[in-house]
Amino acid sequence: MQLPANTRTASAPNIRGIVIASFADGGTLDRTSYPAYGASAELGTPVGYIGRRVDAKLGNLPFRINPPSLVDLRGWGREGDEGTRPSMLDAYPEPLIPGAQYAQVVVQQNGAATGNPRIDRTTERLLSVLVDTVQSLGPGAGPIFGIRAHVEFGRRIKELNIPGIREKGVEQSFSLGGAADYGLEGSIRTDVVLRDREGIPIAVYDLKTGNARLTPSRVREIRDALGRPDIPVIELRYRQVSSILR
Amino acid sequence: MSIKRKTLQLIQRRLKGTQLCKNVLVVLPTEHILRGFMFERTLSKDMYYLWRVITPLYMPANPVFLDYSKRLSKSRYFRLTRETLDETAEHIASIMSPGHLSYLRRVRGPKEFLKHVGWMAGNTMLNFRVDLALTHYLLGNIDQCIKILERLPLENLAAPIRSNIVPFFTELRTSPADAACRLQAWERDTVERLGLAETMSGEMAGNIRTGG
Repeated sequence: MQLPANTRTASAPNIRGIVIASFADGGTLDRTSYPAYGASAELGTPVGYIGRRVDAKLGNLPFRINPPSLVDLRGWGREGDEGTRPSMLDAYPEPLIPGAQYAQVVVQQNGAATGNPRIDRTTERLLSVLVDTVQSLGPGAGPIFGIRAHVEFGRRIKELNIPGIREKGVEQSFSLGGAADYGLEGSIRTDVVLRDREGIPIAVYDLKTGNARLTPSRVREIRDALGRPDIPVIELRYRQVSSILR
Repeated sequence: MSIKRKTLQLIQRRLKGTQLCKNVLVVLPTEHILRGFMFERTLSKDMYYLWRVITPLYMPANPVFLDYSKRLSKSRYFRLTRETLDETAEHIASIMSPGHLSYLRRVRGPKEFLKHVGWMAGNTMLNFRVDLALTHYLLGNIDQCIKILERLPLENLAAPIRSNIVPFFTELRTSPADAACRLQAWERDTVERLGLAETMSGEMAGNIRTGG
């Protein structure tokens, strides 16, 4: 999808039941509701609203340059773009910009309110862990950095032994509705799975770095593999200031 | 040979009563339940999770579900490299045995499997309910099996499982002999796919050898 300069691209059309939780680094949680899909008076076109962007100032940058996170869905189907595959640019974190001075985390957040207090509490906790993770890693970008972030994030979550996640809920793979070996053909790997007291998955968290986005097809894959067509798939996101400024 | 297999092969030499079958170090003998150890790769190069595997073989389209298995050492990564293979194998064998290996030896058949999943009683996960029903079936509790299946929204099962379980359930009430054959066929397929034939004992071993 081609967008004008200073406009953020997002392969996140309106997908019912999905919550996109971006976070604010070290910031307070400024919850915003999850507005319904529909026409935007501002843009005059159908849009999928993924939440108001809230940027936390970590350095001395003006953050108000960021546009709201409205996804231009002109030409897209009402249920999202089912036919178009995301480009490789969507799949990889943004590259590090040589000479960029501001490699702090920019914070994007919306209220990932699912209405289930257990899920929402866990989301907030995971976001806070993600902030710590990113801060501990320092500046960086690219696929290797993305892997480091995933590994470190997973390590911290395992150490915390969070109820409903514990150790097994990190980097768990699924196929045909059951936990499976990642190497298995057709299996998918989740970053974090939250379970209820019975052990039934009630939310899936997907950590994204840079430009990588949770796509509709990925969400479908996750839900199919878990055998739970309505499970919330929550995107945990952080982004470098350098990439915002580009 | 992959590093996973190579490591398990070295461990096999240290642990009596085990046999490497594809990527699983199987605890002998196998009687309807696969018990063993396997590595799962991770995002990090050379890093693997170590699993203690327990999974029933009589589930249709079974890709080796890990729902009843356990990641060992608090889900920490194990580094497998060719340079330190012996040392790593020694270390991992000491984690597997005696505790986990002894436990696996005890979960020998469907009866012990029921005990193993006892803590999940009342769980409403579909796959679990199907496993439970089939385990009861194997133990001769046909009524209990039917009772469980009757309450299941079978249409919500993953397609490859549903397409097998639905006719099985029908046959269970109309043609029990066909249901029995069907379940045996599922197990035989899984055993063949996982290369477990040599580890089998009991009636199933005979069936596999004779192709029955």
